[in-house]
Amino acid sequence: MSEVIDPFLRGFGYSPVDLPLAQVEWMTNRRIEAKNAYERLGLPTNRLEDWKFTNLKKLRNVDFSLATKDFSISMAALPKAVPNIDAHRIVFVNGIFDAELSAIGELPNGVKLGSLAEAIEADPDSFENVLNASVDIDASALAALNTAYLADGLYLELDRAVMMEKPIHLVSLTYTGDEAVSFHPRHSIRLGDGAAATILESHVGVSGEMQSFGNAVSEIQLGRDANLGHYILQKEADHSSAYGLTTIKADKGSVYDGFTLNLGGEIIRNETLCDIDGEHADIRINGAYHADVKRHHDTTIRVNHNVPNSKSLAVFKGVLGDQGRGVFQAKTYVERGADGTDGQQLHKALLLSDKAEINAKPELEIYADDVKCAHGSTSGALDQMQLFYLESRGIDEERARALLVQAFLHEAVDHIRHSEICELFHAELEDKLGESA
Amino acid sequence: MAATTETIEKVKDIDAGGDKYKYGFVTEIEMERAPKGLCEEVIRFISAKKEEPEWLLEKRLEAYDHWKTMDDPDWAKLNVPPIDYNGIYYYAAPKSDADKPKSLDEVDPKLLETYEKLGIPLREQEVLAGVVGSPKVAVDAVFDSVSVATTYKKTLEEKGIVFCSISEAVKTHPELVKKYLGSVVPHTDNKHACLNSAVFTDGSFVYIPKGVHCPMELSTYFRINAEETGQFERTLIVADDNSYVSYLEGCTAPQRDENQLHAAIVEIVVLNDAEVKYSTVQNWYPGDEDGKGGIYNFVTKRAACRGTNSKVSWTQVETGSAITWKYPSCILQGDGSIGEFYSVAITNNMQQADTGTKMIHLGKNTKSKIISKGISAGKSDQTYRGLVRVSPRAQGAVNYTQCDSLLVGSNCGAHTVPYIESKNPSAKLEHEATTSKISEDQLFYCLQRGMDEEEAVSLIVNGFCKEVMQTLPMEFAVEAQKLIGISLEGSVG
Repeated sequence: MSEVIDPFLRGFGYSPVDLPLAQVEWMTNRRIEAKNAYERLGLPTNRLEDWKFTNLKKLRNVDFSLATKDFSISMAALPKAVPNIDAHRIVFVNGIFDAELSAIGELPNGVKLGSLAEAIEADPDSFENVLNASVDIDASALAALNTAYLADGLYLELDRAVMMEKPIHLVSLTYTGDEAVSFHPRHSIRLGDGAAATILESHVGVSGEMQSFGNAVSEIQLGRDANLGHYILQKEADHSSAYGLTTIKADKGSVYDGFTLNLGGEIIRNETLCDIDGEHADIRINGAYHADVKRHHDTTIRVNHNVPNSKSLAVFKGVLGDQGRGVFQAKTYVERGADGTDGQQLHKALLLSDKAEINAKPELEIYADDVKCAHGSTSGALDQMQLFYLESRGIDEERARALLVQAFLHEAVDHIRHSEICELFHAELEDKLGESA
Repeated sequence: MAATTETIEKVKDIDAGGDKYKYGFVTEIEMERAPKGLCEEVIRFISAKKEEPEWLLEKRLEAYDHWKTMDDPDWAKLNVPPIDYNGIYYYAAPKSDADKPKSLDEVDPKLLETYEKLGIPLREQEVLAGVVGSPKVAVDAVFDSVSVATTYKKTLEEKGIVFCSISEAVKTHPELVKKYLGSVVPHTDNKHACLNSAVFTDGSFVYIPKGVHCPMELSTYFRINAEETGQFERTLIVADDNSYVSYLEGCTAPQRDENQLHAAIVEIVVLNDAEVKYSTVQNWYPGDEDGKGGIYNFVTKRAACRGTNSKVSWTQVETGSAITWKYPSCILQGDGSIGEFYSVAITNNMQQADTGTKMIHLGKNTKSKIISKGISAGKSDQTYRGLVRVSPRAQGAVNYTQCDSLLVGSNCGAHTVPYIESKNPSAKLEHEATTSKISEDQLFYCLQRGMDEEEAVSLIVNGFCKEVMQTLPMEFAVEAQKLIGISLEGSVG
């Protein structure tokens, strides 16, 4: 990999001593270890099977600087693009906690919510075995890079049986001033047995002339019968690229309801790695994307059914216009003996332009016989019959097309179990489609 | 100084010796076997033995040079032990009678038992087991009296159809072979194909002239000299405008074969409005229950639909081999061309199979259909790996893919790895896959009606594969059905 000049180590030189929390010994050791792993692996190329369809070449020649705390932004209020909902709001600007814009409010007993950096600083030892428990830095270069710069992010911990009524709103703002910027937030989310919470993640680009690369890792741990709703709204600016790795460890009877709505950005890859370690867990990783202009939206999912009798569902729908490109790679893995597994995947893509492209790879890897596993994948243009139906009722072609596209994506959004957020996502989608129609 | 001179002398000696050795190869045509291992001399030897023209030898050598730079493909979900390419004889004349069993009494009783179950007549069993003095052509045994093969040959000649071994075709139809050989599968394609391009020894050549509908199913089974087809088989089928041919490869009966590595190439060229139907039943030795021995089947099969409205249909029933690595593909170049792939793969015990297809849509309004049924039993592992690619030019391309896996027992694995790539909005691609086990209800129903468990499983599995079995030619289909039952023996209970 030596021929590759690395954009993330070159620009500012890597010096763990200058990173926040350098006083915590295990942290510095882990960062150096991760940095070495990253150097060994290098930025992923198309030669890797997992990255066959997503090319990060564009990022290679950018001079990224690392977002730091001193990087001050005068932002009087949140941008309008950030959805306004009644929630515990926690704001990160380029991956760094912003206390002024945040409005965490009053938290129920047994809930810890705030900046990860602050939490580690207060009690470093308690995090040593928690962070990176589900991240394999030798397998993923970008996760290693994230670990090398590990500092801040969201910290959420719910004690046993704590139910949060209001959702948590994680706002991630990407702001590029005069230079290209990269940041590597780490979110740590742990729900105790029987706890329940809802997280809305809004990724919003504020200024878009320079490039940015956000490389986030979210570690989610669900206790027995815990219930997490995790909804991601991505509205990055046109020059922003992002990689997000979410790892989920699901214990017995836990429920995860995830939905990702990708509307913006340049090269966006969302990767979810879920380990089902307890029976009767119910995992839903759904989403929709609308890749117009030159956007590239990649969804990569791996669900490991390690124990019997668990359920997973992945339903994604995508619309590709202009030179948009979509990638859907999902793998359902059923461990030997994991009988009674129900694993379903469905991907549907709608291609609207001659230059649009879709690559799908829905995979099954199964080592148990008593399972119900299936996947489906379709791609094609708008149905001529449906178009004709609408036009025969006096709707002009352009409007008819827009209606069909809307209907196609809105159907996916209906999978969201949280009614308020479901409505919000419908509204966001309408805004986006209204503007492009 | 003295030592250096000595060394130089020595090297000179070796060089001279080497020259002599090389020379020896060319002159000693009478030799039965090329020495073990792979080197330029061996390739020259094969070419000389086959009395090949210069251009073919050059092709072989070019492939060999390229082969040396290639790595074994490792992307499949297979556990392939390293292959010792130098431990193989690349050319051996047909075995002498001394090596063959004298009568059926000397043949492995297990093998005979299987023949019995398949309902193969005694005389034919002798052919399959390679008994001394058995007739050369299998069908002779079946239909007796007049030599059917000879009759067939005559009919084919009348129609202008060329059906012969590839070495024969090189001599009789050099222009056709030169034009099409390697045009669908170039030697640079993959390491196994490259090896075949360098050392292939036998195989079939079929040419169907313009407007000819081949009146019978062509089969390697019928071809004279079909025994000892060799491990590096090369098949080339050319269907000229408006012609039709159905080609059968293989045999439902388990074949005795001592070669471990099989790296074959099948190339099919289909021109305007022509159709080729290629059916395979592969039942090579899969190794014993612990996975010892068994054939490695690394085959590159590809059809190029060059003409408009051309059609290729692959049907395969794979039950044998320890390791199968095989992806019969269609390049749909001509507008309106159609590619089909029907596959049943059964793995039991320690068998591994990574098989599937590639449908490359290049022309307008091209259509493809993939139906794949995989059955894993015992401790076997099976993967469907398929690619459907639609190029920007392929307006109106349509693909339908269905791959279903059935698991029998809890120690096997079934995997599905489809790649779907579309660059054209008017293309319509559908993919479905399911994995399940034999339904308890179906099994109960059969048992309740007095079938034993093995019979019931065989019946249900046959039902599961029905869609594919229907596409097999009649005489194959009946035997293939029995074969499915036999392959799954010992997997229940």
